[in-house]
Amino acid sequence: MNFASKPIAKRPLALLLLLSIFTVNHALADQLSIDSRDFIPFFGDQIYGESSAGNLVCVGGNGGKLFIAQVPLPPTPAQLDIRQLAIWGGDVSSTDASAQLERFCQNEFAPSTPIRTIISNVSSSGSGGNYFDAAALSFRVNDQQTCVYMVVVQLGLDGCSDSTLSVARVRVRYDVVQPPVADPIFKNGFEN
Amino acid sequence: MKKHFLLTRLSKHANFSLLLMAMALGTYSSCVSAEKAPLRVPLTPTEALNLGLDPGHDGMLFRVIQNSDGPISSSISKGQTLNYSVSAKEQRGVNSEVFLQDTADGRWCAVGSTGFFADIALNLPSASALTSMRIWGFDVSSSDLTVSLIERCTPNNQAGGVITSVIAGLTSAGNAGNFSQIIPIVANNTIDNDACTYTLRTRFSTLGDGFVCAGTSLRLQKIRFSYAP
Repeated sequence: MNFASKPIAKRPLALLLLLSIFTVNHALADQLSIDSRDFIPFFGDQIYGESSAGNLVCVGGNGGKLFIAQVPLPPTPAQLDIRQLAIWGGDVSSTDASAQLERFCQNEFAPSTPIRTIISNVSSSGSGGNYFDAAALSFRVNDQQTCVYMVVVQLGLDGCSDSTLSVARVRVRYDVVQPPVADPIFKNGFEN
Repeated sequence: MKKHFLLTRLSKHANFSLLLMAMALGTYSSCVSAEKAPLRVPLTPTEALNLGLDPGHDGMLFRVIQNSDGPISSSISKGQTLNYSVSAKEQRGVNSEVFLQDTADGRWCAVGSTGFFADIALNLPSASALTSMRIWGFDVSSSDLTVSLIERCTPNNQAGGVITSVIAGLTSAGNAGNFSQIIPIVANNTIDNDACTYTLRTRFSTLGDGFVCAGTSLRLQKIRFSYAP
């Protein structure tokens, strides 16, 4: 018997395999990088500047140490799965730098207090110079019409650490989740 | 049998032709890639200072040579391109000593600022290819403003120094009022959001001048990029 010549419709396993390929959610990997020059001071009177590498540093031991930038994720109706938060910078300080991915949500039409969700956090460690840290995560984003996504950078735990601690960039990797390709068609075909 | 012989001969000829075509394509592609190879040169200390970069960050600062000798219209891709416009109001001072002000007529650096650089972070689509940068502004000053597209890259998934490259730059000329200028971008023009970031740095004074801001007579209004998705 020539197996190859057998119609695929008469081979249930092959048919199931084919259907599973068609009905699986296809994801497109993408990413965005937020440069240190995109971060703005949390408070208006904060003193900040650049390190010799062009990274963001805070200035003044008792000055503000928090900086914030919006994460420009693709808008609705795109559904995303955030896969990684990563940070680069310089650290020759006794304290560390960190970046926190946060979400602020409000009602779509009614007034409401923003609800803050901390999604992930990465930080420098030690004081060896250039640093990199990354956190793997799986966080579904399908609420861009009601939520904004931000990264908050903190330069030092207690106070501003001057140019010994800097942030070069923060990267958010995500998968763009596309709707099932042929699921409704095949489902209707079987149900009917 | 004869038919088979002819087919074999034909197949051999076809293989040979394919080989020749592959060789020709290989030669052509190597020529093209040699022609389009991005040329980066290190920034001189003066160039670095004029961009507000630390010349002490030696070995990590570069300038991309763009082929802008020919007519601009012929350098810009004729295929499908999209536009990405950024308002100068997006600017943030390079440090807290830069005092920016703006009206509908543009954004400027106030006289008295001890810093005179401002940045805009760009959010360009991954893998798109930039083809040109155009700026709009207002210049009735004896000084000029310079807008530079800057790429900053780190090793992809490990710690490492930031490599800074100036991809393109435009300087306002004259002092006739409103102006618009364009530069084609043909080298090092593919956006890599995985390893790099892209920012626009504006210097609100003439290169080589002292630490002054030109004030309201020198304003930036808008920047537009054309790119192939």
